[in-house]
Amino acid sequence: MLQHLLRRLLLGLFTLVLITITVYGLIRSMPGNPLTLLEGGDPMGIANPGVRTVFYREMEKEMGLDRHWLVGYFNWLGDLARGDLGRSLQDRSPVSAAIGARIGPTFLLSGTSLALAFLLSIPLGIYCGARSGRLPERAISTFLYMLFSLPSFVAALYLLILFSVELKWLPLRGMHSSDEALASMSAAGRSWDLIKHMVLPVACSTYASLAYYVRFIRANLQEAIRQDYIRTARAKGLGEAAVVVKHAFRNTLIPLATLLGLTLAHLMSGSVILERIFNWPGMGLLFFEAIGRRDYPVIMGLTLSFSVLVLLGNLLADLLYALVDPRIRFS
Amino acid sequence: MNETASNSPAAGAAGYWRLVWRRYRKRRLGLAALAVVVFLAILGAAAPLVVGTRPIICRYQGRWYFPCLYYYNPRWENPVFFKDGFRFTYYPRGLAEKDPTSIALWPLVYADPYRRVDVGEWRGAKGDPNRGPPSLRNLLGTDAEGRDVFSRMVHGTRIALLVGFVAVGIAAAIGIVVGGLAGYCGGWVDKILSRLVELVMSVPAIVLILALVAVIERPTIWHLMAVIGCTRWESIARYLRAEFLRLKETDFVAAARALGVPPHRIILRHMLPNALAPVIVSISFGIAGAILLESGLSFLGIGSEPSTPSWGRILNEGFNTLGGERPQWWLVLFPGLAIFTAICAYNLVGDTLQEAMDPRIR
Repeated sequence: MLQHLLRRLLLGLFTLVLITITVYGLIRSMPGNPLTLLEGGDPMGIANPGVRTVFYREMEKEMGLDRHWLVGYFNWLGDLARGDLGRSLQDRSPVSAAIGARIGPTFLLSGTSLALAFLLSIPLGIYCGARSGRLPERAISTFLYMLFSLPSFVAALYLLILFSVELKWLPLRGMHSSDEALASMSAAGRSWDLIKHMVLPVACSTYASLAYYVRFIRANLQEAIRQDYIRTARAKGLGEAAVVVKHAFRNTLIPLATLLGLTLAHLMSGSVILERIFNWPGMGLLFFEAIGRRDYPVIMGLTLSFSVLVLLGNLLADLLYALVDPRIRFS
Repeated sequence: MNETASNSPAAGAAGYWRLVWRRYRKRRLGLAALAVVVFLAILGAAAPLVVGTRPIICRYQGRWYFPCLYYYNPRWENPVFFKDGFRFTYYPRGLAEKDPTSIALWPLVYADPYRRVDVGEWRGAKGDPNRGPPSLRNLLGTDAEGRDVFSRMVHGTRIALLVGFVAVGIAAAIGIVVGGLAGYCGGWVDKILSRLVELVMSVPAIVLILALVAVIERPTIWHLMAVIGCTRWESIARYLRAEFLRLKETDFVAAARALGVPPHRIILRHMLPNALAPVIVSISFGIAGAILLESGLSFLGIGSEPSTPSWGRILNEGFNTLGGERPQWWLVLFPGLAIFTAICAYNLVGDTLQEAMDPRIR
């Protein structure tokens, strides 16, 4: 087990190095360097050429652009080991602080939707698995199948048009109302405000994984129900609920545990688009903004953080797998 | 040796496909999805014949031309039209002025995915051809720049399918080579390649794709296809490896080897045709995934050139109007439906194929 874990960790580290070196190498091998692009786009409004040259030299040195890109990469790695992700090109603030400020909202969104997806999918999946073939089950399954094929950004836009533009029930974007409105609210009012802002983003990031889980649980449950021990359980006179929940469903939990890790990857990648649509101040929105500004230190830092989160998710799935299934011994 | 059709391994595979088709045919939803897939493919391939501002075929100054080829590749438009200033007069007026005897066969709908149509440009059209919401003149409305959404959607079908096919083609090529080598060679080759597959699997694809597209100075859809293709081949490789491991132990492969058939022939003619089933299912899901990724990236505005008529681009334009005075719902509703339909159809075809190929399900 320990050996397996170590192997996975090593592979994960290797993957991280590979991803970051690819992105770093590509940034450096593109025609023009981050600084000339910066001048072209001029996002910092540097008009004075003298200031620009001084600034340029300083930045060039700091970003290691005057050396070979591999040296630059290892410098970046070295800084990383000291917990320094560099400074944003935008406002010269530390990248780690920028990411730290955005990680909370992302986790609020993905955590809520992960919990919701699990809570809702288990009863639905059990129902669909046990009542397979009947009309309500087929209706639910078909509907969920359609949902699974509906991209979250399309759903988000449809819901926005319906609830925010036409009915005006829910806010269009952001995480809070404006500061003035917020100041006049009580604590309960503020949480209600947050919930109102959260409804659509959470719904959009939940439904796809919900649909997938239900299909997954249903398929596994049907597989389990065909087994001999279910016939035995029925033969000894157990009630249908006990047979399905205690005997059949428990055995579908094992593959379900592995899904948890994979969902994390899914949520992380979905967050870029959804946070952009709802203007939710999370890591995905920061990534999107950084790409628009070509803020390379931030792009590097976020690529790393997203990759770490996804790899941690995979690792977690692996661990859970071993934890819930006593038959599995990694050796 | 007389190799008749009935005892060659490829013929066995053909019989298998006939069986799969027979089982596939029984599933109505799957058939409908297949029809949608075929319809989209035809619509995408024939987009310039359906809607455009260039004649499909025309006789101009005594010679025949196919100006609609421009939409496939701008270089395929005959230079004579450029010389005669058709860029500014456009075809209906240009043809009438420069050669009154010219004949032209026009697309079904006169509208352009790249520009707005001028007032009075098309014969018999009165009033402004570029009004906002859907109307008879603009079936699905026009966007903020006055371009016809219907024409952008139809040409967008071409882009979406092109991205889907090319990206998955690249993925299939890599996946088949890696999976085939790992499964056939076994041993240390298999060990190394399997680690590689594991590595690619754990890469968060969209984050990598976003970062890569961000550093490319002027990303085109070709970059996008390459990046999608290079990051999404692992499932094909995994399935093919498993099939090859199984097939390697079968009698007919052993017999072929005993007869002295060279390895490349065993792989290409005996093993690959019999291992394609799961790969094809994967390809179908892969196309759905590639279309999803392309439209998502185009929606974010970082996938392709701004002028490319892509479903995601139209959606993005619609999104930008949502916070404003006049939200333009038609810019969201129609491309959203198109993306959903395409993805749903490819997923359904994949699922139905999987069921038709699974001997356990009757």
